[in-house]
Amino acid sequence: MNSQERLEKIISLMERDDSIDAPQDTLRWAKNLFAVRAAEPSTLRRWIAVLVSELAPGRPALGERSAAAGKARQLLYQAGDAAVEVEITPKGKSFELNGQFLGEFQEGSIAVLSSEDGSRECGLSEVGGFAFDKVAKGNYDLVVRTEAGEFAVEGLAVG
Amino acid sequence: MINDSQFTSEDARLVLRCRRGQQAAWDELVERYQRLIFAIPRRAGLSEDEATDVFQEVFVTLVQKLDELEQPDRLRSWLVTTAKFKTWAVVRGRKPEAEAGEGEEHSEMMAAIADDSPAADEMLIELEQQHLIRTAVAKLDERCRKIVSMIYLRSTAASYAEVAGEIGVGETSISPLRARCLKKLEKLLR
Repeated sequence: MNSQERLEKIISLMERDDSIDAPQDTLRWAKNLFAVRAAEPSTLRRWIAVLVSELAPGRPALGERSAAAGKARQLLYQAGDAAVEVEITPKGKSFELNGQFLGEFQEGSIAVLSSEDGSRECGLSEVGGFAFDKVAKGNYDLVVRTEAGEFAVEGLAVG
Repeated sequence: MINDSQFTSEDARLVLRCRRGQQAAWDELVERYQRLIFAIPRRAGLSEDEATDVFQEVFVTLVQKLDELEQPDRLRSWLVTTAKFKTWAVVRGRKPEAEAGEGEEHSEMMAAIADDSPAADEMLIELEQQHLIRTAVAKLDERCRKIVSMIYLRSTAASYAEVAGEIGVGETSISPLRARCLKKLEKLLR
């Protein structure tokens, strides 16, 4: 089937499409179903990560010339067989939080940054990287969720 | 006719995110499939109330089985098959009444979707293809999405003048814009 034929078929299918949305209240009901699942006790393992090193801003990392030292605060946490690297960089009035999960993880794993004001999440990149921008000064919990369980950095002070 | 590989990998990612407890992923999954799941019992001739029951049963089953789906990339097939069997159960449960009260054409329509005959398969294939097209339309930029939806996805197609008014361009621009948008859509489904 060439492009033109495929296009004609697509148009014909669209023109015959008489489907309608499910009723709004049914749709809301279906979305709320998930809350029941979320409320069930989690069987995931949880590791609390401990801080193993912290490099304050302006201090060079091992092997780095002092002139190259930036404004970023670098932290390394360990939890079980895994580690989490976190880098906090001031950006104007807020901060950028970048990091990398160093351990086994699968596609779909996420990092969740939460505080009393709410939570944000982002998927891990192929190399386990994650990034949160516009992070306000405050205390946060950072959790990396993988198939194996949760790796939690609790009480991460930003700013 | 339609290459669904990018959609199946998106489905797999959605399932994985749901397994990790992400409500946003579940909402996206429900939004993505609600029309298709509601259309299956409706196309089989079930009433809106019966179709709603089927719809709810499908999603209850999915939320219960989320962790057991062996092939998350085959979510669409799983949902369609589940909706088909649940529709079938309703049809079988009320068949005498339906045949007596709603005529031969209605019974044939129900039978067509609720069995394994080629006609049933064709109907489901068409519903699935329409679902994939709607999913692809949702991926178009806003202007193209409006143009394609207004012209092709409404029960009554919008006129070029209406579309032009909606997106804020001259009426003469609509024909070339429509062609470009269709090309983009075709590329997404290639």
